[in-house]
Amino acid sequence: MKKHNKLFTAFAILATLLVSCNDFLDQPIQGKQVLENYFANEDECLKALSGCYASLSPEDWWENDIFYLVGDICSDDAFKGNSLEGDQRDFGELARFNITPQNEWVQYKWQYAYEQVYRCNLVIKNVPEAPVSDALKMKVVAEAKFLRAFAYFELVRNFGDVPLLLEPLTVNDPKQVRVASTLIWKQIEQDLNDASSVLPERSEQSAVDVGRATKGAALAYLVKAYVYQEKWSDAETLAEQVIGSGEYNLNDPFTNVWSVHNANGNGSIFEIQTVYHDVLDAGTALPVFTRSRADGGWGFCTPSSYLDNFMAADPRRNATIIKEGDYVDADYPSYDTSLSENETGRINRKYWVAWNDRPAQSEHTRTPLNHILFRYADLLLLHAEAAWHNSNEADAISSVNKVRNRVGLGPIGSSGDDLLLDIYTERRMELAMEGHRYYDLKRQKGIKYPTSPRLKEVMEEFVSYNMGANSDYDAGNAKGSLFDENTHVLFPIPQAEIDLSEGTLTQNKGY
Amino acid sequence: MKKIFRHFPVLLIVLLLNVLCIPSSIAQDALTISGSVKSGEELLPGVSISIKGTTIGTITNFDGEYTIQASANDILVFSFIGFNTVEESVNGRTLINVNMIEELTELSEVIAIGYGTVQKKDLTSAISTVKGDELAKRNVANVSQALQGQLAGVQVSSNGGSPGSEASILIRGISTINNNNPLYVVDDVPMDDISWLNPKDIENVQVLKDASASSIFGSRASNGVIVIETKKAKAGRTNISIDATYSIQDAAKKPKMADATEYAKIVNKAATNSGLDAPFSDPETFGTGTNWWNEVTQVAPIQNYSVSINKGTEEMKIASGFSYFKQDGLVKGGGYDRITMKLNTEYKLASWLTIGQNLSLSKDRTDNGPNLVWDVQRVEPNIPVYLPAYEQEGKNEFSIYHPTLYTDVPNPMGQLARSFNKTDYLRTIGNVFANFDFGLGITAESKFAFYISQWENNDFGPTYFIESTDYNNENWVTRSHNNRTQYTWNNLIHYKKQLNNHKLNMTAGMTLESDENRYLYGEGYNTPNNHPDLRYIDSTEDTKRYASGSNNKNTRQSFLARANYSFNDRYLLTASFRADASSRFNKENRWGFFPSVSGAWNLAEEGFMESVSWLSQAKLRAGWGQVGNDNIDNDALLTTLGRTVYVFGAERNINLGQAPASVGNADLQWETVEDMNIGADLGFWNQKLSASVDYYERRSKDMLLATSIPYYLGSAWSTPYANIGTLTTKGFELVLTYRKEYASGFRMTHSLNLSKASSKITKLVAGEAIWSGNHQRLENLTRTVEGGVAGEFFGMVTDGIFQNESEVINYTDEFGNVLQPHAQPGDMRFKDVNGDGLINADDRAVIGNPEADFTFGMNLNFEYKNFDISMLFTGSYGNDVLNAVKPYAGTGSERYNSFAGLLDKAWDGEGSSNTQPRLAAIDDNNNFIYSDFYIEDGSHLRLKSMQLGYNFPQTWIEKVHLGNARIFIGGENLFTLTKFDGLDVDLGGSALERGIDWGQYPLPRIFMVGANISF
Repeated sequence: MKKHNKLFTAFAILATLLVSCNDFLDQPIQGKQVLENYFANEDECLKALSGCYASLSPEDWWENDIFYLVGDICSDDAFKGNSLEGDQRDFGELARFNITPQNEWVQYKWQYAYEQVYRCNLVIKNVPEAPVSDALKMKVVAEAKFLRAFAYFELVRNFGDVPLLLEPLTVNDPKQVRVASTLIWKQIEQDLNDASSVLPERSEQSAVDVGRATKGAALAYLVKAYVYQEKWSDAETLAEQVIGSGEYNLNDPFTNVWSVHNANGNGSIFEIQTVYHDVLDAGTALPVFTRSRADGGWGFCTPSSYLDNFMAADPRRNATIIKEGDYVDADYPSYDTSLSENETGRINRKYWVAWNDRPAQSEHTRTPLNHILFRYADLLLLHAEAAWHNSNEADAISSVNKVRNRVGLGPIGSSGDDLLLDIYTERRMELAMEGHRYYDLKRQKGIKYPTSPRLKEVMEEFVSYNMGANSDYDAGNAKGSLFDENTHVLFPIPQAEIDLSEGTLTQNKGY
Repeated sequence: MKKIFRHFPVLLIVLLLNVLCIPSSIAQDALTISGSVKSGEELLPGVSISIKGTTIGTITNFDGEYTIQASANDILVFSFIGFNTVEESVNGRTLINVNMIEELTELSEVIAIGYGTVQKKDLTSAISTVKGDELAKRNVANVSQALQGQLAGVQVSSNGGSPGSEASILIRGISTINNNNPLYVVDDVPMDDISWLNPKDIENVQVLKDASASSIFGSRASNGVIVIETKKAKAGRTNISIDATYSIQDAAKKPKMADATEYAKIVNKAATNSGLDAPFSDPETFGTGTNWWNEVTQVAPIQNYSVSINKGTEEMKIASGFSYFKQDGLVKGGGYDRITMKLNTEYKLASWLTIGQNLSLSKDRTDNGPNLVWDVQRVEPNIPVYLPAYEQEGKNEFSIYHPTLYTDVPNPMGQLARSFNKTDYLRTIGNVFANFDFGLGITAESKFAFYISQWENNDFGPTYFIESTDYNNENWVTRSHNNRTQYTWNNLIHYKKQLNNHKLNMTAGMTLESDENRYLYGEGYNTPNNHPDLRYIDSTEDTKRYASGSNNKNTRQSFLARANYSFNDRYLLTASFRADASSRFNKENRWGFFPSVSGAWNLAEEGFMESVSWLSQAKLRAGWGQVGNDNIDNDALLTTLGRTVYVFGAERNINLGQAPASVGNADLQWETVEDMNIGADLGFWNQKLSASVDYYERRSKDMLLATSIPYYLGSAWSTPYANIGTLTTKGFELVLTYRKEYASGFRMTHSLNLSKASSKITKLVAGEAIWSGNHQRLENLTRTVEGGVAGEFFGMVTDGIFQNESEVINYTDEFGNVLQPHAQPGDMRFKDVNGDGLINADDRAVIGNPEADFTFGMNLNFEYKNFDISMLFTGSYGNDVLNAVKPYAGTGSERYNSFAGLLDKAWDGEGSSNTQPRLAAIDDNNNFIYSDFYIEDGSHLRLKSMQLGYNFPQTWIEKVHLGNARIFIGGENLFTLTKFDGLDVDLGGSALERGIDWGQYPLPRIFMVGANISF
């Protein structure tokens, strides 16, 4: 028994030893940075800021990049395009205004805009506390504020009233409610003003910073924010300031505006930056998404014959639309739009990339075509619109004529309501198929129905053309007949979001 | 379901026939033998006496006496349930008295309860057991599949029939809306993976169902514990046993899809109904087209062989074994094979010390074929598989497939040709142990166990071009590795003491565990060509390579104690306690404490029960306990950052950034599950009939769940864990076992188990609802709310179909507003559930309950002489299932293929259908929005397994020096009665997404033939 006792003692000692090894239970997370000790140096602050930009074009989620096309398909300029009903059905339902709160595209827009808000809020909150120079703090926070304003701009123009988050929240914070769009606009103005007072002009940027937010971009978006709110006088004054800065011009030929070889061109105010990379998805999906299915594309967002007729005599038409059989270049002497799968027999020329410029691999995530979100011609035409509302017709005409002059069109000399129509016409010609028209038509007042958004009368004419006089490829397509001016000027709050908020978020009218 | 009950009489007749096989005793002119049969001093009535090799027999009367006529050379066989069978040669005698010895019945069986054992009669908690022999009968790849239908309260659902796939196991319904996988404890070592185990190496399986049994496993026992004892080396002569089975599988049910002509007609009809031109001018010219199902499936074999050898003396015992299992895929491109080896040794070095080791190796390979079951039900049938020969010229082997012209589904055979994804798994599992006997009833054991696995996946994507949406310009190679190392060290002390009628049994111990995963992934692009010898990363372009890797580790420390006390074998009491600490939680929340107590009363042992002879067992049990759940990711408390990509600069340089990748919740704590169980074990007529009933209530508090968070928080793709509420499960279980043996030697054992588990959410933090099940067409499929069942189907409610224009116009709210202004005749009528005059998402309601009223399993076993038959039925009653294939194939509204017959089934004029809406290419009414249209009755009865065996007579076997030889034929999934339209009604799924058919891999129907030989 003696021996046994020893054994027993040994066993007991061993057990006690084990108990005392306390470190055993402390296991750090391996191989990942954690937020609680991030923002410790300059590099980390800059990387977090880069993350704010990355939300503009998420690496593997092309749907966000593509959502801008809603500006065309929800108007008279374009159709869903691809005639296979099952292919991107929800995209087609947007085009037809048969929009449910379950529409996945609407959900993506919402999710990515708020992802950007969250990332910007982290930077705006943490960088001022970080052990870095004051100059860096100011620069990083200013860019983040620009991007936060951009995200809220996208939210407010698509959804109206939305939750307003100015700090990074955690999962245990109380549920949010929707905040009146007037307050969202106010915050956008505030952030853009803050940003513009710190950001450098484009000409002051060093070469490595090209693509980052500039003072000009902040002010231009502020102009747009004023226009959306019909603050015409603020808009005109500020637009003049940007025009007067001389930072932007129309020196690039129109045919070269959308080119993989013209990244950040002379008229570029803000664009999503892309590049081809062998492994990383740093390109855009726009070309593949919109190209003909016979040309290795998916055939979406195709221009209507209605737009084609409208532009028929305009020098910009061939740089905007490719129709079945059109000559494009030596590789594509007679373009095949894949008629059996294309609702309109046309595709968007602006996003079309020549054969030799297409990447060999993963084209739909790696095409290096920068996505221009704001260019100088847009600003000039916003200026014209604002000036007209302020009864400064000469200034309005001057801006329109700058745009016309580039493409070799003579000056206009109209006045009054005709002038406004001319401004609208110029805007459509210049910016067609760049994702603007739906948003323009819903903020502009109607002429036939002055109390309704202009979108109403435009969709009426469009439907009546398609169901009547139209004998083109897209004849008989009833797209637009479901449009309801009381509902479709805003998209629905995603149903999943309403469900998750359990009642604190309410739905938009009509959904 | 009525249909199923119509078939129950058939089963009853089968049962009755057995009972009616009452043997007759035929008089013979020979000796009249009489005598009495006793057990000790007690006379035994009802003992059957038969003459060996005949069907002649009789039974003892109430005084235990019998009379039988036999010839002088006959042998009498005395048999009685619960006693060892006795054989007596007549040898001319006329008086033969026999004393029978009680056999070691199931009541004296030893049950492993984790860190110790207990005799079945001393159990105080809800534990079910199944013997390894029962599992070995099933010719399936793994233990989880073999457990189906065997045990009350253990619901096993297949996760499809793909080779090697594991079934999912639910013990007593769901206990959390998190992961519901039970904890496996193999030879006292907790683990989450048992697919390495050859079912034939299992001695027995115990399922610890209530917390009073499982709380000894503390923080991981909340979903119940499955304790597996593997076969150990035994003392005895050399025993070699060989098993071989060969099976053939085909699909238990095939999908019936429209052929090319019907498909084209459906598409045409949908177009013309919507005012569009019909795309196909002459559908009949397509003929039947391609039957994609037949193209991608095959009749496939399963092979299963194993050998085991055992030899031992008191001082040294050795067992070793080897097995090989190979299953080809029913769907081409899939396959699974596994080799296992084991070696167990045990040495008794001294009277107080035994040491030993167990070692198992398992090597398996899975060919991960593409999931074509989903695609073949959607792809158009009016294209051929291959391009015509003249178009194939000059194309590589992956490009000769015909493009799909009308859908975005890639050519399924093309997908198959490009399927090179293979997974290899090598697992080494084992332990070394030392058992000490200190005398005075004190023993101790120390066991160090390890589980080391190497997982490797290889994949290759060739260059090919089928069409502009189905091509690859640059081939690629990927390889990934995961090395997992899990260590467990158990140190236990046991104390056993018996004093008069008092028995005390105590265990105390501590354990340490660590679990580490190391992962490495590499990919490369552009190998010179698609040649098999070049499908390695070395052949790829060295500027086009990418690697990633991760490490994670967690540790646990635990203390445990348990005491069993019994008085006079009548009053039993068990108490246990476990303290667990996990590295996953913050220091403040790190320790969890899990107590339990249970008791039982052996009523039948009481003096006043002696006169009640028909009651052979009566035990009442009650137990209470707490267990925990720490099933969260190691980094669940923290917000971790991930890499982002953007571009800056005139030169357009890649700029890598950082942003939150997964959002953490710093306030997380343990999930605690508390449960109460009462039960009774009853035996009648000396256990001829036995019954076991249990009722339980279980409350899971602070349930951990990875939940979707509002998107405005900015991390829509992140689902952080939260302690989200309380789930209460109530249920009962019933097991009936009936054994009967006839003098003729005919025996049968039947058992029926019936379970009901109903889980209700009793509290959710802030009353929030949990949404789950993201379907491309239907969005959130289930909703879980306070007061509701977890994972209820929640969608629109249909109310037939508008038969004509006036029905549309007259479908109004109380103010006369037309509710569905965009509807046309033939469109679905939806109920305005909330009565607000609008049809929208607010009108969704509970449209189905995935929880069964009850599930059951039934084992029927018959033995006669050398033949045996066993059948296993499984099923459920009253559960709803969601057919998630139907939004594609059941609507005809897009150019995907449809179920056969849809053309005639769809509404086409007044009165033609009130369930299937019109075919339409443009659907302004959203007919196929998520609604009860997709919900079906999931009740079913299935003949899961059947086997007919023949044991070669002992006399023959001895001649060839064999110990035992048996041959058998059998089958699996032989038939299923159900109203469900999908391929397989037996659907697993997670707690919030139960009963959803996502186009599950079809269940194989298996026919097998095999042999067991031992010598």
